Amino acid sequence: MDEPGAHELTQLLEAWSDGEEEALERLAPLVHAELYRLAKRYMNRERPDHLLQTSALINEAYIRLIDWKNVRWQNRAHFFGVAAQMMRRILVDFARRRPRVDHDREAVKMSLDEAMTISAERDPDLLFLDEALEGLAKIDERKSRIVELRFFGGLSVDETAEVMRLSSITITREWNKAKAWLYRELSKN
Amino acid sequence: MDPELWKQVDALLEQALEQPPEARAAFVAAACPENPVLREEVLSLLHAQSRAGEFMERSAINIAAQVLAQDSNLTSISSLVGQEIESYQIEKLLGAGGMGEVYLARDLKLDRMVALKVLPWHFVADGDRLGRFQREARALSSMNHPNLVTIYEVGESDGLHFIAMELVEGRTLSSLRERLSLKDLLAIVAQVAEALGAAHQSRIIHRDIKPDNVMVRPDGYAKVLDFGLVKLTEFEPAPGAANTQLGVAMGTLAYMSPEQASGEPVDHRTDIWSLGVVLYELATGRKPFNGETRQATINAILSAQPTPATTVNSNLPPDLDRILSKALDKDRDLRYQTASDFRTDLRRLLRQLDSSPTVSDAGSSTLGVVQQFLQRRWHWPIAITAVVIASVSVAAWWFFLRAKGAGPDWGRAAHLQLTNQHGTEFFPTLTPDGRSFVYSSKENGNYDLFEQKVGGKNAKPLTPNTPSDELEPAFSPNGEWIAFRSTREPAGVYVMESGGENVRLIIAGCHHPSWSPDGKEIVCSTAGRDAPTTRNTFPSTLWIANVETGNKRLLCENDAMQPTWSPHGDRIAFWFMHPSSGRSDIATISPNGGPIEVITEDDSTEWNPVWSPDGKFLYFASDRSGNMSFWRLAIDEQTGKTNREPEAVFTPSTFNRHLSFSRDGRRMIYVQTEQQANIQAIKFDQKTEKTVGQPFWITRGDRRIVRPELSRDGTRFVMRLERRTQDDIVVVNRDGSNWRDLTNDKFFDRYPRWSPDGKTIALTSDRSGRYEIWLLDADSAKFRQLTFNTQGDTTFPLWSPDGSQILYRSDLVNTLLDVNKSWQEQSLRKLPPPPNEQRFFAWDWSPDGKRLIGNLGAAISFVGSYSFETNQYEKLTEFGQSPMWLADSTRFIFYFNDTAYIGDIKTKRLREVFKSEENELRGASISSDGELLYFTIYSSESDVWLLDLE
Repeated sequence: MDEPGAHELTQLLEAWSDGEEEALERLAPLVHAELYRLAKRYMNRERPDHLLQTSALINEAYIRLIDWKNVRWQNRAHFFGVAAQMMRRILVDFARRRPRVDHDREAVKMSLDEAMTISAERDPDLLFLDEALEGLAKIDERKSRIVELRFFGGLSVDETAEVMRLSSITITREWNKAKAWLYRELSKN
Repeated sequence: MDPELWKQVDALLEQALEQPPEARAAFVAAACPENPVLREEVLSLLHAQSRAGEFMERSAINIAAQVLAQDSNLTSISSLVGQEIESYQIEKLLGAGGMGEVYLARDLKLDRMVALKVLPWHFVADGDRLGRFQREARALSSMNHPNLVTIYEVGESDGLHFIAMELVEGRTLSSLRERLSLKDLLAIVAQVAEALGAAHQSRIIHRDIKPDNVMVRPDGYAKVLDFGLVKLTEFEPAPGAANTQLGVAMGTLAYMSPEQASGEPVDHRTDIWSLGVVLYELATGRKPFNGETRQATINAILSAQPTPATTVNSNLPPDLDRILSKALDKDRDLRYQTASDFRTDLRRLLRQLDSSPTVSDAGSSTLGVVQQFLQRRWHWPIAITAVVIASVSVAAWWFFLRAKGAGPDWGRAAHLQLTNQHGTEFFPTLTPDGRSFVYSSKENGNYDLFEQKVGGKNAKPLTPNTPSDELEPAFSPNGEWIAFRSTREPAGVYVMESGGENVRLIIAGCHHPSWSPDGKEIVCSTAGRDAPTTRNTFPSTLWIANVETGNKRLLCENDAMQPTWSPHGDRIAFWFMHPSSGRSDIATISPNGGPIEVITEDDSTEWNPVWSPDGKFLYFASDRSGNMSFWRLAIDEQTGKTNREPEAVFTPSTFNRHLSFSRDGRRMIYVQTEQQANIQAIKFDQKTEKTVGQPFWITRGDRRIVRPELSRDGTRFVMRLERRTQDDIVVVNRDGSNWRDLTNDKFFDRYPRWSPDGKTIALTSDRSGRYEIWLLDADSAKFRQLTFNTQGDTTFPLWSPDGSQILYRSDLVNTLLDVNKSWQEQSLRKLPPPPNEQRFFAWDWSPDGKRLIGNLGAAISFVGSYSFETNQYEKLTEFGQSPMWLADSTRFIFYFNDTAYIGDIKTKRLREVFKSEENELRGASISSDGELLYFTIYSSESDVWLLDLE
């Protein structure tokens, strides 16, 4: 009936991390709500640079979604890890369920030499990215986790460093290399 | 790729990236001249890296959101114009937004034009959301009010979900601003208030009243659009969360009520506020609460007083200020309580303006002005567009009742307060003809029964003002007798004539009488509860007694309370508590015994079942919505079975109970209750054992605090805070400052006690699914579970003075555990039971470690102690509750009937130390330094209300 409140969400996340798959079904509406909220902003043609402040936004969402006081996680780091996994699952599922139009399948494939920079119109398709990330995990687990935390979890470099117990400089290096690898994967036909 | 190769690639790529960009290719070539695979791999990644740029720099949720936004745009391009959906011929697209597209369509069956709203795919993809949307839309569709947009149909065709609704031709109120005379404005706002009043009666809240959501038709009619849109599109923010309004446009924010802006749960009064803002804005030309930033606007809503409208525009009548200040009261209890009251005042002001020559625009009729204005200046066909973009959606938070259609709709009933004495009036029972009622009231110091006419103001006592309590009256089906509970000797269920004569005992020891339909028997329970807050130590059993002979039989040995006989005699409904979780549910049993049918079984508290007089519904009180309000279930009276979901009946206030119907089912009375409990303290001189000065409040406000305890160092209180559907642990400083919720979740956290070092709190909590003992770190709020899978009623942890052991009660046995051991390592020690079937509830462990003090007794309990040295129990007083030690381990303090007493285990002396002059005193303690006597003061206001379908 009603969507879960913050405390319940926290418990759902806990439950999910304990292996209860059903918990994800209850989490999804909350993430969807955030999604619609953001989509509305796009539709209202808010300035793109405003929207680029992603980690602030995501953190805002987490703060609202999570009942921090009652987080029984060993630590924040573990929690962010689980939250990023959740976001990945829900967002990829969401992308999967969306009705697909032929031309947007093309739009997400990129030619390496097509553009100097990837603009907002050149965002990766979440489904392809998810697949590519699986591939990356097979050869380099650490990089795939960093991508999961940063891209799906929306964490900053420093937060990612905290979660991974690595230095920020290492995160930046790994991130750049992972980006290169994934970009190349998505550019392949 | 081979992981070994990847390691090399990765390492070389990293080195290469440390080079200046122009030197990288050469560096790679030089680094591995003999390994072309490695080289090519790194070079290709370097190339990708140089191109990647902003790739993945926006996080996934933003990308998904943008895709979603684009999809919505795409859909409107591939529009449905020209197609037929069911019987609707789509003619043109009127508008589109995040909530879908709205088309102008012709209803081919009825040959009329409608607005057809097609839901976007993301609604459809989300089953829950879709279902709720449809239920809510249907709920609103059953409303028929001239000022509400009519919903014709909620339907689906080939996976396309749509709503067909009235096509409103008109302009939004916002587009008319500054063009309306005050009288036009008042007339329009009064119409909106009327629409809101009707919706509120059906428990539908708008939540987003603003000028954009009010359409004004050429004929002057106002139509309210977009009911419940906010509820539908935004998920419910957590109460108190700071950034709840993230997604709400600034425009909307300005109309939010303080409770909405601060993320608290809202009720219908939020709409009254918003309409007040609309009135203010359109009357003065500026918004009453407006800031440069979102936060500044919120701050203004929460704390700023708007400039009086007459100061902004001195032509406005002073009465408008009065109306606005009442609509815009930050305390919703002081606001207009109903939209109808608001409307009445607006109408009154209008009438005044009509008869007053001083107002500049007096003259032509109100609607006429709008009409002329609209018809003169606006070209209607174009204006339709404005309509429909606004008229995107319909919803309501009230879902089940209207869709079912069966059973009376109490949302439409007239609502009347019947009693308003100070204190408690409860357990009302309506006479079968519904003309008068009998209830229990403490007006004379203890509970007696009174009779009052519905609509009358004079209560007539039915039972004499004796020290005994008379409670739980129940009219016999023919209205000639009243059964009730009395605590006179012997306590039990009595029957008297409806005028109060011929009192006689029917069955001793029983509570909550309910008559069989033939009036020959009474069913009752051995425990009585006016609220589902405390558990029974022993199961409450059900008995049936013959009214003539007094013969009795045991019906049900399981825990069962407040039985109620079905109108045709087939079943008896009751509520019971789960011993481990303490949550209550409802069940039925045949009067002849047999299996119990459990009707509700979930995490919420259900109790107080009452049959509808036709036997088709079982009404009950439940906190499933957050408030304790009334719900009902369609039920088969013969089997007591139900396969339906409960439906909400109404939620007039936060705590409602004690329902009773008239025989025809057209009248219902019930009780609304407000309870508060706060900490009070008074200085204490332990030498003279006297209080010094006046008592003062440590905490104040609308909250219920139970059993505060001051830490041994005297710096902090820990207490339980009852939040109706959850109990939480709170810590405050000795002076009441620095309030901190240590827990705030759906669980019941109870009986907190400080460890001797003041760092840890032991408590009972059901967070593992059953009540267990937990430790809570007072600073980090981290939990540690101490007991696991204990049986039954596990509660009341108590620290040993050295902090190494905890005594707790489990299934009435006092048990000791070692705090520093895990549950597996424990060798639990049980205290010997007290003699003669008595029970001992330990309240406090003496600072010298030698004794426990607590309540001892069987049917009647008194203060008693247990000595660890002799393993003996000792009775210390004849009465009293919740004794606590003083620092000398010799004296103890306890309370009884609003009075605190100090006793001495050696001298056996007992003296009164403090008596509360106001309300109820509960749980008295004295600080370790002996200087502060503290306790809670409990007040409860319960009044009887009537709902009348006539």
